[in-house]
Amino acid sequence: MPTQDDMIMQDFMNNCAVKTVLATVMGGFLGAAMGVFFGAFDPMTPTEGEKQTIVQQLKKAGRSTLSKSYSYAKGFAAFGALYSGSECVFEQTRAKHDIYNSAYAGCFTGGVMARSSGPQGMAMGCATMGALSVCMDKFMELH
Amino acid sequence: VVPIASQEMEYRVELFNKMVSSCYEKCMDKKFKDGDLNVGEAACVDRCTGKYWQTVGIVGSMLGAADAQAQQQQMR
Repeated sequence: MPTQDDMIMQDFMNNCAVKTVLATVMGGFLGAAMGVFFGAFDPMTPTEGEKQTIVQQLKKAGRSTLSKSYSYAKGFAAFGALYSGSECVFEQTRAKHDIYNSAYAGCFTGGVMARSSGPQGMAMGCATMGALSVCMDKFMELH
Repeated sequence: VVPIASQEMEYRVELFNKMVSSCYEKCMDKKFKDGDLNVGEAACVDRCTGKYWQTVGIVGSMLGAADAQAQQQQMR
């Protein structure tokens, strides 16, 4: 039988708000890491032909990496929050645990992330993200 | 008094077992990919027990009303 502590922890983790917050934080970290990783590949061309010292070039590269990682972090955090929150809400509403929760959550996330490109873009985003999340879940064999 | 209490205890145990068994059958995914309850199953068990308990209440009150009516007719 699960202990009282086990049950409290399970209740805490099965909460939709907690899941959303966790996914946002993890998405933020992942986005920052990816920004730092991809920022290292940016071409560091000297501006206006001026010869800048190594320190100045490094500082410029560091600033661009920071801004890039911040924007990546925001995107990934939003994505994580949308996906996790919508999947939790769908699962609680349906009271079932199967693959359709991931599909609906992926469709919702894709549609919202593509909301600036009209209904066709939203439909494409929905289909793409839904298919992607179904494939990922099948691959991770959670369902 | 003790036989009544022991019978009441048996009824309660039977109710508990039936409730757990029926909600388990209805709510649990039998593939057992994980040992912990997920969000959907927890919500399902919550609602299943709530509905079961309400059903017990309604049926119990109806039985009590039928009993009271039968007793009243007997006393006349």
